[in-house]
Amino acid sequence: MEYVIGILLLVSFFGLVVYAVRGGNLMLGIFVMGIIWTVLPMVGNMLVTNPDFIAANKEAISITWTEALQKVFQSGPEGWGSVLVNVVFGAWFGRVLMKTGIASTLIRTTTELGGDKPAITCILLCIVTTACFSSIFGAGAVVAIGVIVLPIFMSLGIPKVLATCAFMLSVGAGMFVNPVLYGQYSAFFLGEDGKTLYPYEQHVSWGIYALLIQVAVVIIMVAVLSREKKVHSWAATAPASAKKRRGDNAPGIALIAPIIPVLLLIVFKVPIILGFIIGSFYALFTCGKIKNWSQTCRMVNKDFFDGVVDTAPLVGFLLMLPMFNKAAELCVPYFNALLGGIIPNNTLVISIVFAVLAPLGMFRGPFTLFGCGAATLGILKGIGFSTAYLAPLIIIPSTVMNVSCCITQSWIIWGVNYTKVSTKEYLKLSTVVGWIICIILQIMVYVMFG
Amino acid sequence: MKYVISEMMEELIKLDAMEWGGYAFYHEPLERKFTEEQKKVYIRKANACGEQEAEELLKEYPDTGIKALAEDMGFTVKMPKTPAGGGHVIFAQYVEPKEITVFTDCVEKAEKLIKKEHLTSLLEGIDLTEVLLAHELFHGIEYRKRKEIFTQTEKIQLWKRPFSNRSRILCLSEMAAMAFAKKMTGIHCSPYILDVLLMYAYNEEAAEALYEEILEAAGIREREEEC
Ligand SMILES: [Zn+2]
Repeated sequence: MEYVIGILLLVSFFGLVVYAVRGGNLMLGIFVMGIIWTVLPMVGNMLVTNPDFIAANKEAISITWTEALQKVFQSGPEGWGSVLVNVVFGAWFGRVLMKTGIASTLIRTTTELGGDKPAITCILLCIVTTACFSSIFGAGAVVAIGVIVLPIFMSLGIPKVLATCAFMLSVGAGMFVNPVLYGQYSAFFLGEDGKTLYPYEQHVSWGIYALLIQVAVVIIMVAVLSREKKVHSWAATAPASAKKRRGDNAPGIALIAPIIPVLLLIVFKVPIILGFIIGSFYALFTCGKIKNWSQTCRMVNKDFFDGVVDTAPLVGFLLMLPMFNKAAELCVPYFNALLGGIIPNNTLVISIVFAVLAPLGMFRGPFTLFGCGAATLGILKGIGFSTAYLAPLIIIPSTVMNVSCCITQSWIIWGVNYTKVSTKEYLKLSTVVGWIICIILQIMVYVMFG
Repeated sequence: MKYVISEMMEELIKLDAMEWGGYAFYHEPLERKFTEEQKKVYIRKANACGEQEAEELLKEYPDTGIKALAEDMGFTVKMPKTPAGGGHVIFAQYVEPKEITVFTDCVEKAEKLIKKEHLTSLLEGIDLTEVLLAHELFHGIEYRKRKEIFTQTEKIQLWKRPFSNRSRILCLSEMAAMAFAKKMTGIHCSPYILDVLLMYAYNEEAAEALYEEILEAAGIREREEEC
């Protein structure tokens, strides 16, 4: 019986993969999967007869329907609530950086350092982009910075595909230490008491190297590929926003604002929400935006509102995802029964598989936590690897292949549409580069935690 | 919708090279490095450079279509359909060393627009393809003459001594290319108006925003301050 359930679970899993690859709405797809993965193991729990299986999973399969439903549909999204709060504060911070003109000033100043040398300017801008996205999170911010950076890349004669790819990979590199993205990951590693087993310090201990490696690979990519024939195009760009220009003169001292929250967190262990608040007010203060109480109130109100709107598209998905994650936990005994014998209990083999098959992290596949990876993680957890090893193992393809490379990522869809590169051309470059990054990072993680 | 396209075109046709120069500098990444006075000098010199190149070429090839001319000079001219809307519409491109591409999709769309909106008399004698080709041809000539032509040799020092990083000023090339295209095709207004016309064929709102940006960059209209 447990095999039948296990096979049905796998079939539905591949159903989701096909659905995701075909571009189906993921929010509802994930929700339906949450239901299927709750019902199947629960029905299985009632029907299993194999005494060995029952003995091995006594606790897991004695869960009642009420408990299961509570776990999946109530505690799941509730647990994610704390992540959501971080996302909102992060989006507000992003808004402030745009509004004060700090982001655009930073980009302009950087461009003035590099001038017309495509490689130098592009590399410097990639580094600045990474720095910005080590704190900021959200499609709104990526778009706001992208509409400044991408036209500069293209006016320097950098081919569109390379420009888009370099920008998106730079955004993704910053995500390795981004506290908001970390928050989303940490929710996959909760202990019995609901506290995370995967603290931020642990994450940064390898994330900072991952960031540096991804930036280094981007730099090499730009240095090699920008030597190709220069492209000069006559194109019109819709003005980013009517108010773009006004803010290009933030004072030098304000320009460190983007990394304040993450710096405070890493160095002084200042909680991230407080970090965002300090960062935001530092930005507003140094840019002379704080004049009097009522004006400050209005401004903060407005920025917060805009920040929340920025995160809105993500919220629905973020609240459905945990149902699926929790449901995946119910399925662990069945996956173990089916795959436990096949999946080796050896970190070296697992690391090699994750390195070699890294592109499975694309199209919401089994190696990304923002897709079916939640189930993969459930299976691997069942086998009993340590969190310190398991977390980076699956976060690498999630951050590199999904967040930095895949066209199912909201802001990458935007970028590809904005620069008009064909998705095929884009994926050709991004997949290869992402794959290389994954291989390097998996080797690093194996050495550090394997 | 705030503007009618014919209204926008009428306004834009009136702008002179100096005002378009303001728009060119508006998109110049190094814009902050120049004073208003320096910009004016650069605008004048860049336009003169483009016109001079055109005059030389016209002497050599009187009464030749731009396409034939470009091909005769050894450039490959391609005309695929390509673009598909969005915030960044590409009209034409030049790839070093000798490939010129005009994306016909935007030309077709703009020609339909001209008919539909009765802009024919306003845009009398403007062959869009020729203008786009001429602009890109200038970049090709620039590349060939990169050792001596003004737009390529004029540089600005970006770093403080003892470090040195001398950069070209990208918008000079653009202004010169526009002046070149205007002279080569003999049209009566700046080819820069195509930015709005062609964008309008894809995205009316973006074209209107661009129009406002141009007026502001040209110093004709003050930006409304937002609180
Ligand atoms: Zn040009």
